[in-house]
Amino acid sequence: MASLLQNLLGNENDFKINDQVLANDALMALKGASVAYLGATLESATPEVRRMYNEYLTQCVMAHEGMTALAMKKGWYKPYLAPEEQITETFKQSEWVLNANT
Amino acid sequence: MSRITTGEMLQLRELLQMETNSVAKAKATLNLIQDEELLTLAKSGVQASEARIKGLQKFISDNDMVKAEVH
Repeated sequence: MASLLQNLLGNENDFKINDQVLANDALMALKGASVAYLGATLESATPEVRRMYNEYLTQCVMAHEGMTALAMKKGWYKPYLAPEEQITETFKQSEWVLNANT
Repeated sequence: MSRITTGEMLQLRELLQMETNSVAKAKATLNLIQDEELLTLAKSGVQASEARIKGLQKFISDNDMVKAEVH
């Protein structure tokens, strides 16, 4: 019964994914899609196929640009920080995810 | 239009699978987003991805690559 109540109300210690993780994941997904469409464009021979992939590649690059701008504005992604500080921040995040309750 | 190569068909399948998986994941994570601006961007991303899927589906059915009708 206690666990049912806990499920309904949510536990303070429950693991919650945050916007920073979601934004980083979106950036990685868009990067992956861009790489995939670039590869597909270069490897295709049929003009119609190349044109379609090229258009989708542009869409993905532009979406990535928009997401990068937002992530930087919100402080979720800090590419201009010193490399040592960037790796420290990511290291802390990796500890957080390992210590999170599931 | 010209015939499509075997490699192109395999790649087309891979890309459609990638877009399908990513839009499914994006839809599932939409209700976890707290930030309003991120939510707006994520929603437009889902729409763009859905449009790409429709484009891929159209290309596949226009070129008679599937036996069954694509809805």
